[in-house]
Amino acid sequence: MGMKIDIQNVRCGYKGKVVVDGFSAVLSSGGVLCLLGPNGVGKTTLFKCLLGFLPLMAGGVFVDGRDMKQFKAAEYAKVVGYVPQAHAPPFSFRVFDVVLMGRTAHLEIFAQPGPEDERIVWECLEKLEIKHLAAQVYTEISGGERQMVLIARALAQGPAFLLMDEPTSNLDFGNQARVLHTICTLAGTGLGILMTTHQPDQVFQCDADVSLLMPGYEHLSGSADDILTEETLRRAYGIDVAVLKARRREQVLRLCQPILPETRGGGRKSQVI
Amino acid sequence: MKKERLVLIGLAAALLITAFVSLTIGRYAMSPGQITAVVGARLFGGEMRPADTEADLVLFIIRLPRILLTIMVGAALSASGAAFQGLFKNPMVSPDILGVSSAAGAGAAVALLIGLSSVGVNFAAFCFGVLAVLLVLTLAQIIGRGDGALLIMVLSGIVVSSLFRAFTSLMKYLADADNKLPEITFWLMGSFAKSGGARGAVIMLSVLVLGGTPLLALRWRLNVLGFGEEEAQAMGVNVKQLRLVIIACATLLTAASVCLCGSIEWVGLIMPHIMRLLTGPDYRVLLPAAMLGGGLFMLIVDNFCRAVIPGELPVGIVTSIIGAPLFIYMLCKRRREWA
Repeated sequence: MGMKIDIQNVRCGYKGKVVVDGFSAVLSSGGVLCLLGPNGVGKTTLFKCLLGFLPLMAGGVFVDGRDMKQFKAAEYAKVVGYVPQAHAPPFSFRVFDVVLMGRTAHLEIFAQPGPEDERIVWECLEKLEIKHLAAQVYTEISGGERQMVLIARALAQGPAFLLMDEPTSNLDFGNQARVLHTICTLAGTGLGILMTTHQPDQVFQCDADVSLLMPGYEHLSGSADDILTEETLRRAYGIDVAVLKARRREQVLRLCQPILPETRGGGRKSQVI
Repeated sequence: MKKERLVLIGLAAALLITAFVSLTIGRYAMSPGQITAVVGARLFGGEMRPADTEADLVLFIIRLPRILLTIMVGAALSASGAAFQGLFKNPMVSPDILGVSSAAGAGAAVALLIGLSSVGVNFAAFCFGVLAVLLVLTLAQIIGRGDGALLIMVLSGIVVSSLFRAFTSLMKYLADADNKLPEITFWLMGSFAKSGGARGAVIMLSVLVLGGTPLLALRWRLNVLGFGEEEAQAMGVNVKQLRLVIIACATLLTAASVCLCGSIEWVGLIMPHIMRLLTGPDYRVLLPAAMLGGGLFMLIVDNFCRAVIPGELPVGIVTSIIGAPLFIYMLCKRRREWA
């Protein structure tokens, strides 16, 4: 317990083009860290580097003090689980088998998963309350369900950290909340979670830390309250944003609302004649 | 899991029965009783009648090696097709995606043109097949890195295939139209008739063991590869290494098949497909099922070729005639799988 991923001064990008530079952040067990920023600012690139899909151009990522470059793929997979965006693979595997694939890192190269692996899969399905999906075909379930299955698959790896790529994109209002709740619950059990998102609101909802990436290799890291202000969001996204505080019974809610510029011809409501 | 096991057992049983029936097919008439007698004499010793001695010869020198070879080639092509389909995340891929068949054909054409022995022809075909894949891999290595590597590999495969096919045409053009040209043409049609009897069967068996065993052992990882390079890596798979091993094994299987029997199309594309309908996409069952099914299909087609006309039909023609409409049928049936 109490592990951390230390991201130190990393630079990443593609052949000759630096996308992110001088980025630092720390992800600890039990914490949620959101990567926030406008399109094209390098969230995905950074994410790929953290998963080892792209090599770092400078700086280092240390998992519990050990440089990620020293990890073999299987070793890294046992510590860091990747949850991609819900997608449709070309083959129609059953949900149970998809989750079972998460056990690959624990298998010898020529081995097939055994009863112990299947037990762990059932556990993960149970934890996410999707046991009823086990026998269904992955390509035929809904987007929200697929996202849950992918989370279950990452959990089956038995990792200390989850890296989630826009886990709520393409989901409806209710499913977004469900997935977000799952993320908070998992963090509560001691997992450290890094997720990219396009919605500043979610940072408040998870009571998470945030790294706000801004154009020009700039980034701000800290708690949601400190970092997400009207000023910083305006600088990051180039629009006018209201950060509001609302009270509902005993709860204090914080929310971010973009303010659209006035359009010609009066208000936004259509006129009733 | 139960249904899957039944499919495997059913396929194995069908294969055994068909193999036995196949022994009776051919110009030299043999009853099942006679076959049992001859096999019994071989296994447990004992006297053979003169008629049985002849039957013994036909059975063990001609039919049995051919039947075994046919089954093994079917299994090899089907396994290699299934493996490539997983590797390229695409159920439309066939074993010659990287140019093995076209190149092996070119190799055989050259060897036939300069008048090498049948062993020489087999060897040249095999070497050209492997050479083509090395060429494709080198091209892909030079041009594509990262995400696009697979696509570059497929495109390089198309280019290399086309190049070798042109080379084959050139050989045909240069060939003497009276004897060399027909020889080359017949070779390219694919047939088990000149596959070298017992020698061919032994070669194919060793190749099947050498290339098939690693594929079977890695079949769980083929599942994981189906989710793409990044996800597979994040699940702990050394993707580059795994990819090379799979390509090496599948190439070995295809090249050996083509060099012994000429190019036999569609089997490696269709059999994994049909089996996927029966067993689902899980390679733990799919790969063995595809091998059994491929062997069974190849054997039935070859029996048909042997039985239907006296001179025997080239098997490659029949697989194409059966394969094309079958594939269209499956396209209609399982469209959504590729959506």
